[in-house]
Amino acid sequence: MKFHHIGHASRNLETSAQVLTSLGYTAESPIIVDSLLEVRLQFWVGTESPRIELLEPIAGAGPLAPILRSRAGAYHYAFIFDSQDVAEKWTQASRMRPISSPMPAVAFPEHTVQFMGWPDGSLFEVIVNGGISS
Amino acid sequence: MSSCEDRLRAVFVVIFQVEAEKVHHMTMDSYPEWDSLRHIELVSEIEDRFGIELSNREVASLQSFTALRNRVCGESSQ
Repeated sequence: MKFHHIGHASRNLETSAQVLTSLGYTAESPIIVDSLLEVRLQFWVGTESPRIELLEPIAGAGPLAPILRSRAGAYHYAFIFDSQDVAEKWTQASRMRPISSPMPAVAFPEHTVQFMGWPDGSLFEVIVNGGISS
Repeated sequence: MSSCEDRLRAVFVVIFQVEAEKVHHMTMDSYPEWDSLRHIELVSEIEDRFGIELSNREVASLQSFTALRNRVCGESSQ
């Protein structure tokens, strides 16, 4: 398991990008349209700073929209796992519960993503290398 | 000594910051603040306080105070 990024909910991706730029961040990816999660997203990296994924809901819809009704900002932590089996064992041991089923990761070819809930009510993204097991 | 239902109601009061009198009719559908993440926070707190373990399938299906009360306290608590 390895840290990958912090997800940052944004009402306007370009506005949030300006803030990251002022903090010394640079874009690591182009803006990606993820129709499964109904978001536009972009990864940003900074020197000695954690990778940040900016996410903006498309047309104000999808699972990110209700989160943004509370507030913008950091709302999930993403870690990458070598296999689904490893991810399941670790999340079960950590008392995480699935919020979604594993789905193809639009931003990461050959990977899946699954959202889990922590016992404290926060959100965790599981990225698994290797795709969905049959 | 408080009843099982009273103890469960107290968990709802802490998690949702609601008055105890309003808990009885709460469901995920009728209470917008009861979203999927808050649901996991709720069932985790219930597991801790009652010393029980709920399966993912149960967590997905127990979406009202009444359903959780029946599972945690037993059907006889109705």
